[in-house]
Amino acid sequence: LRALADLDPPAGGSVALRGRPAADYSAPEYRRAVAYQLPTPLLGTGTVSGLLERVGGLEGRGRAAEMEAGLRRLGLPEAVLGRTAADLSTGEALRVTLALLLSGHPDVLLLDEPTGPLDPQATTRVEAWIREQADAGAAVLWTSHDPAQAARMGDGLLYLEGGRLHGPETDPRKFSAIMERLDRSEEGSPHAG
Amino acid sequence: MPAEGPIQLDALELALAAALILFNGLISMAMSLGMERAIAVAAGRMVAQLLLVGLVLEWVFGLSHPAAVTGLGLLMAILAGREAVARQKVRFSGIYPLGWGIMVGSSFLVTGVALVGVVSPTPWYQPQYAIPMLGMVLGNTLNGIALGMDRALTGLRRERGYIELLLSLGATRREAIRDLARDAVRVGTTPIINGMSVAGVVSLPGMMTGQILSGTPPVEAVKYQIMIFFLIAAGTALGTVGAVLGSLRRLVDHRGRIRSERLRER
Repeated sequence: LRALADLDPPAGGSVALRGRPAADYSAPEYRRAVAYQLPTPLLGTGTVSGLLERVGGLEGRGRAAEMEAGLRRLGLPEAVLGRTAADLSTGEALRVTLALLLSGHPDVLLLDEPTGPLDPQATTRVEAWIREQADAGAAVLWTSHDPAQAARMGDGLLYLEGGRLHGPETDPRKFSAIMERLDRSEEGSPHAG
Repeated sequence: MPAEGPIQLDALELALAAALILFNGLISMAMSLGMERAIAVAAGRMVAQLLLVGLVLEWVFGLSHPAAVTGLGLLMAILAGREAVARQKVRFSGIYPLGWGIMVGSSFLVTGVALVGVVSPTPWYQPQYAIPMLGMVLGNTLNGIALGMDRALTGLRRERGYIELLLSLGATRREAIRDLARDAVRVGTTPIINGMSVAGVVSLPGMMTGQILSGTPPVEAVKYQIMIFFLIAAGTALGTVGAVLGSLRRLVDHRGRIRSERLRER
């Protein structure tokens, strides 16, 4: 995922977006189109509203108000804006990250356990927004260890087994059997897309 | 210069001063600090190094040749650069040449401007001016570079997730490392700003004290000290900015990717 997000040079192979090599795009242009959610969100040392302003000041990004709407949509109370990043729980910080990424309307979403630390209610809100963007044409690559979530959200399952990439398996009914088998052998790193 | 120089110190008098180090030794023993050896080694190094430098300076002063003065200056700057890098816990390949280059560049530029534009001794390479001025700039720039680099390098590791979040949101390299670079420059230049604010109130700067001891009228000594403070502040700022941006440029590639494979722990 990090290589796809252009945060690490690929160990092998090449990365292309819409048939053009990733290196042909400017780095900000590419990453606005291919948004990557880091597994452990770090939001800096300022307040959340400071972060929103900072991100709103980047070229090609929406205004801070749009991102604030995103925070509300993921169930974060207004009071979160005044708090510093260090005071947020992991789940809150993750939702802030997701709101920032999703309000940029990327073409491709790379998600690394985006609902891991979230409660069921917040998980539903996150899934609904991602579903909406997928329906609008975004490609979503999602790593998950939750077979029910994979079956609920995924159209195809890619998985690593014996050091090789398998799939995509496109029958959601088969997802949980594959994931449980991988879980037992502890090589599991399934990706639902 | 007044006709009579300062009172000369002879070996016996220096030995008496050296006896004061016994206080450090006694405190270390009484409180079981285990520092006796370190104190003895540090005091010994100080005496040996200063005597050696005294001899080298006498020699260079005797030559009074531009090549000798410039050569000694380069040597001093490279040693200072080495020391700034030696204080880093996190390093990368190419860090030594960067430290040397930044140190030579910033200190020579600032000292050169002051020599040509402010003090204007004839000839310009008169070692009595060039060497002490350069030395003071180096000592302080060294601190700024060491602190700024440390903040930048440890921060790159600690704040990697934040930098990558900004990148993922479409930040350019410059936008993504801006906060870290600012912090690092602030950390590196704060000591000299603080030093200026307390100068003369809490501390009597060493050079001014030295000039007064050697018989210079206090107001003349103060004027020199003021000039030196501005030199030091400018040198520290240039050196710190150069070292911070140089390090970050080396470790964050043109697409903003943090090349942590280039980092290594000491």
